[in-house]
Amino acid sequence: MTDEVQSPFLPGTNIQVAWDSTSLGWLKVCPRLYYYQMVEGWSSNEESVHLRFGQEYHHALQDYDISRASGIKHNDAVHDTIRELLIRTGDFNPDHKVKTRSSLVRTVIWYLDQFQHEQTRTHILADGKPAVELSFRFELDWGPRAATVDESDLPGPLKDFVSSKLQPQPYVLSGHLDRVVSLNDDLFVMDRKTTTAAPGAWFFSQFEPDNQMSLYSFAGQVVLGTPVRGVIIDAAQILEDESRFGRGFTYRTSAQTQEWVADLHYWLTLAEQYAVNNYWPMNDKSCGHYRSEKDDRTGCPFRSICGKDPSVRETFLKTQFTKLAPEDRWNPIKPR
Amino acid sequence: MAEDTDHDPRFPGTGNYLDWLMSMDPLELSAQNIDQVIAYHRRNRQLVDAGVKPKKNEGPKVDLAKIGLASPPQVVKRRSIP
Repeated sequence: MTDEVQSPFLPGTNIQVAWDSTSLGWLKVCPRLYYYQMVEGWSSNEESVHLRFGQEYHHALQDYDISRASGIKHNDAVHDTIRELLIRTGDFNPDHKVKTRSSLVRTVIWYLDQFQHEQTRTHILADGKPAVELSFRFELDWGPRAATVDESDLPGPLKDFVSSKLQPQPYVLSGHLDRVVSLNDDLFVMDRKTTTAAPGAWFFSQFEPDNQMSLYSFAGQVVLGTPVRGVIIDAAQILEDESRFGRGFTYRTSAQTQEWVADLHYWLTLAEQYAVNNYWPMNDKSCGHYRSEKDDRTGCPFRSICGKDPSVRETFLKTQFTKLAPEDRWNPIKPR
Repeated sequence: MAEDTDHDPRFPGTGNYLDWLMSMDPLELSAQNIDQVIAYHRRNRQLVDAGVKPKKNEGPKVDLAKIGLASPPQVVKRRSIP
């Protein structure tokens, strides 16, 4: 038995077939950013702090949701959640002013207390399990052209079985829904975010429209087989001495979701074209507008690289970033 | 009931009981220790909600000028404008 994780790329190519909101977001922001992070696997040290903080935060809230869904009372569920969080983060001692182990524990406790009497209820799936940290992976009804079977290459008898639409490797959409909740008889995906920005109207306005929220609305409908109204965003602002919370709603109609999927068709065709040509152009109008989905940074982390002469970029990349081993790189189909 | 976790005389100046708990091997923490961590953060939240800024863990005050690392503030003499 092997734990080897499948590559998200077509074998022997840079054509990505398994996509999630993170990698699709990189592509939409800037093909060169996508290339550096997704294809080449460059990562900054700061990124790992934010990534770990976010992962532990989500893990803790997931533990709590599961406990509560099984009937455990609030204070007992908080106790168990914090005990496990402290054990898991025993090695987490980041050199960061705001995102520390203590601020992580504080944010989890404050968030759970703040929303303990909320009106949303965790949706219970058909198999009786709570819809918490729901991993999804499903195929789209099209794939990269490079993976299309050329009927002329097939032996005679097989041609009859292969329709012109058959794609042996369709695109795959994958990801993780933090939680699916019911609120006033409507289903919503709930997404929890940590941020350094104030979680007010300006913060929530950035999710309408938004790649991640549209994907989650679409995925929620596919996975649950029933309409989803949209996404509830619970944002936690991490400050040095306190954490603040805000809740926002973003809705998606059926027509909006269809439009997003139609756009996706074009984006994935573009991605394949970049890979086939082995050229990822810079979107130099994005450099200052970029906001990382994972770590809340604004401004592209690769701006200092793209601003250099092409002949010295590789040298600067090596000094400012770490090239991750293939198994450590961002992989949409890597289980959490 | 979790005990009072601030101003612990065992940790004068440079830390407090929470810091000590957080520095422990998490597998050694008792159920009571976990409750103390939770109680500490809940109390800090009450303070924040009441408008009180949580106290930072400040080390002992050192007079930098006294040990030659900083010069005492200079009195700025302003020119009088004729």
